[in-house]
Amino acid sequence: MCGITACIGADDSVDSLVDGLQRLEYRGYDSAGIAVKNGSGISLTKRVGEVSELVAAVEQNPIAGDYGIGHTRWATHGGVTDGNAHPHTDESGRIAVVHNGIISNFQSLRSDLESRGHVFSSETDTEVVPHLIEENLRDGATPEEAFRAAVGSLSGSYALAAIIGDEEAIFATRSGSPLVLGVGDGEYYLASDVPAFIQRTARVIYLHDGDFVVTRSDGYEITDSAGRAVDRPVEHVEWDPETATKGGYEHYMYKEIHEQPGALRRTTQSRLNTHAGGVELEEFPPESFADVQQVHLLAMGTSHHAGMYAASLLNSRGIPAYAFMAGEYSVIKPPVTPDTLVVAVSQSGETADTLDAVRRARAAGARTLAVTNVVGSSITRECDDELLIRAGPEIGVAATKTFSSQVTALTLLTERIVEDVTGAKSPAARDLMEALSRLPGDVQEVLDTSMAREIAIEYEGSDAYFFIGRGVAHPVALEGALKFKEISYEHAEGFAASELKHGPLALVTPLSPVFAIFTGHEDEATLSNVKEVQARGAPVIAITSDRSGEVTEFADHVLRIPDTHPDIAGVLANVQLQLVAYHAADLLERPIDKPRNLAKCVTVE
Amino acid sequence: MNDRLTEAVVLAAGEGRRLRPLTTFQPKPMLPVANRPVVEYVLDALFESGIERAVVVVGHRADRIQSHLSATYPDADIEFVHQDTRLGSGHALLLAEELVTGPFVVCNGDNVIDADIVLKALERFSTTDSVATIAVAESDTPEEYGVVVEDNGRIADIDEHAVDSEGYLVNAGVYVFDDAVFEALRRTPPHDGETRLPDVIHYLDGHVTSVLVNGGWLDPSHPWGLLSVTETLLARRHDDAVAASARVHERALLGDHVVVGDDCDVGPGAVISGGSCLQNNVSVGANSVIERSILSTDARVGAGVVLRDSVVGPGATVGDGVVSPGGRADVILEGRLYTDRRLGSIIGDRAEVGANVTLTPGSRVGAEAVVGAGTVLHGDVRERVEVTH
Repeated sequence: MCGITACIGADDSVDSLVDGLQRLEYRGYDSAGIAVKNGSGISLTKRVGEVSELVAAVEQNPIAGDYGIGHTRWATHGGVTDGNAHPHTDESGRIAVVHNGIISNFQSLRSDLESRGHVFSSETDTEVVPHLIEENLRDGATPEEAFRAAVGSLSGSYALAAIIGDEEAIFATRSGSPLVLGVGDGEYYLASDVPAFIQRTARVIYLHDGDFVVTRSDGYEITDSAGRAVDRPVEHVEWDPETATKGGYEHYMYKEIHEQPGALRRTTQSRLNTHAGGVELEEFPPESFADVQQVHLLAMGTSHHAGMYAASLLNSRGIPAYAFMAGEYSVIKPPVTPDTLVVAVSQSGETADTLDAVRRARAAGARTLAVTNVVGSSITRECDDELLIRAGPEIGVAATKTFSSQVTALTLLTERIVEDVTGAKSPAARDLMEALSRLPGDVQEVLDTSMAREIAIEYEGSDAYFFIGRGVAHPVALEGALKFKEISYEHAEGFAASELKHGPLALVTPLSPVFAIFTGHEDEATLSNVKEVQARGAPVIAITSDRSGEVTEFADHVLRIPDTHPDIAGVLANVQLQLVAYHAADLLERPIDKPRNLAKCVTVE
Repeated sequence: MNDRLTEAVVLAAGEGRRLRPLTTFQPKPMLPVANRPVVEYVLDALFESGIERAVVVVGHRADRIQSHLSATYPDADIEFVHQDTRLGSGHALLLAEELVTGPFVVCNGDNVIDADIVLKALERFSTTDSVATIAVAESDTPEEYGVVVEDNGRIADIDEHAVDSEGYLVNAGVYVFDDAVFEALRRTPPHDGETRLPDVIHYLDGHVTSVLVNGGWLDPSHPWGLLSVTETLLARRHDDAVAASARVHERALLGDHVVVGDDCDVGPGAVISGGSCLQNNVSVGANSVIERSILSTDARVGAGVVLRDSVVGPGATVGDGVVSPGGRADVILEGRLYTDRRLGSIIGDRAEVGANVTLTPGSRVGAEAVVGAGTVLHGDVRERVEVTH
């Protein structure tokens, strides 16, 4: 997982590259670098650390150039050092390359190159590329031919951009890693993601795997691997500029938590019919899923929790559904039939594990459907159909509003599937639609009234934090723990409430607060689990809509959620847990938007 | 003064206590008039008149303004400053000192203005030898505002507590200042713990000029103002009034000068008449009559309800058969009596009003309060209180 940028034709190439990298920092921030071409050759600056280190370096020793490439790194091959930072060059320093992805055959390529006398200056997989280009040039190839030939010998996943010799052009290609082309007025940009250049142009071409691009200051050419011209539409991107600012908030995560009411309004807009008590999905008219026999939900991380949530809803309505971690799906190889609907859930639409799993499912004959936040992302091209969650851009590495929007979109999808498969709306449909219609306001109520900061203060310094729930609250417990651990670095675990006494109870002590999630469904059973942990002296924080009953009576603290349909209560409980995690991490002064070792979207397996 | 003036400070930190209970959870600049938060009118006016950068001072419920503005003006240069304690509008402006270089525009985030006002103030400032220019408007209820005392086109005083006023010019809350205002503010003594921006005119060295603006300035600072400003703005609108995603039953009747926002649901036989607005995701049940009223986002209004001159807050529930007949009322706001104002009732955020409740003119239901079925309500119900008859 890394971010790449490139620009040609802009008056201020260095600023453009560095600015782009700062907006791509969510993709990685171990080290960063840029290479720009000017009259005297390629000038290279790279630094370990966040992009701000690079900015300081460039300010201290200014460099200039007419065009160039940039990179922000999340290390996979080779440690975090200046030497391993991109861009990488050949021995002559006349060829510079940036790369996102993993070149799986780099070991053999490297030993071949070394045996032919090439000297490597880094431990990265990427460095084979400039050396390969250099060899091809020496054999008499043009820069474009040399680039194509080098790419032709690579296996694995990559998005690459290169500047070669004196040719005033940027050469780029993608296969399995994202790359977009920004079309400005005599200015062209390449980047892993749109925010890198959105302030300069909103006209975007989403490149496909196998596409080659050559951009010059007077235009661009897109060709396939055989060199035939391909036509890719220029799309106008509307919402990304929002990524430019934190809107007065200290952290993107906190901003995004507060954006949830608006995000959920967009997710549900025009999709709920509260009169008829059903869903109206433009993408999926009634009967769309009449042939479906079973559903597989594939995802990783937070999206996997949303997938588990949906699987729980589908199963409770009589539709066999299984949520898999996409990375395991390819290993387990569960049986797939033509009437299996595979729903791939990915915020970015670029998650490598999920893309890989989808490809296998499709090859096995399944029907595939992408649930994603990003228009035109890779997963929308890999799948037969797509359902957009419309949450708006999310920059904080810890997913927040996209989880809420994913669960909501999946709940709508669930109702469509149930109605199509069973021939009737689920008995809960009417109440659920009304609850979904109220959900944005309910989330606002949680934001207005939450006592999460007080809870975070109360339990600061505990040994561990546990989260329990059953049914849809089980994935919410897992998500609550994931959020907590990823941004606070404290030990946090989520369990199915029923699982506690089968092992995890041994971990419970007076210094391990337990967050128990009550949805209004099977609350009595969860309450008996609460009593089990209280008997071991652990403090219990109940997340519940219960105002006067037994739950409130037994809990040490209550984080209140509005009364709603049990199937959707998990979304509200999750907002409370997002706030608890945020405040706990804030008290510990963690770098909340950029937790160590993590990246926003994981495009390597 | 040759450089074009491109910076503005928007004062949006106030609590808006006269508009309680609507401001318990929402800051006053976010209250909707004609389905748009007041602060949007302010920023539109500024950007239309050539302002390129706005510093917004936020305080009470800051997150609402921040989330809304960053989503609504994604490309604009807007910076936020936090005023965490209630120290007055003068103190709020001082907080922006490091972020602007004078001269610059200052305006209240809770008054509706248009670009014309800003342009007039800028022109007066740049064509006269003044250290400050203040936009003033004529008002037939000057006692509700800061009354401006003029002397040959220069401002002699702004009396924030005029009771028997002979003047009829009031402070419209749009100013142009140069950097000297900050030094003057530091010398301006606070009243009741608050440094008020209008007081600064006595501590500025130089002329303070005024410019008369009428028509474009509307002040929704009082509950009846919220309704009348909405009515005025709706009457001026000519664009599509019903959002594409709204469902209005074919047997519902929508009058002229109403707006219906996204995902609203209006049942059969309902009558929505002039000066009313339904924000987003509002539902109105069968045979309900909504006249000159504001129904905020997520409001749920049952069947057979009558609401006149009333405001329903976000997420509030109004049960079947509730009647708020509207009319004239005497209202006490912040310890001050206002007589004979046109006002029905005000229902706070997420309050629940049970079936067949009668809300007499001027009654107010606090945020998250519950009013039991059949109650006849006079006066105020406090926040989170449960009332039965």
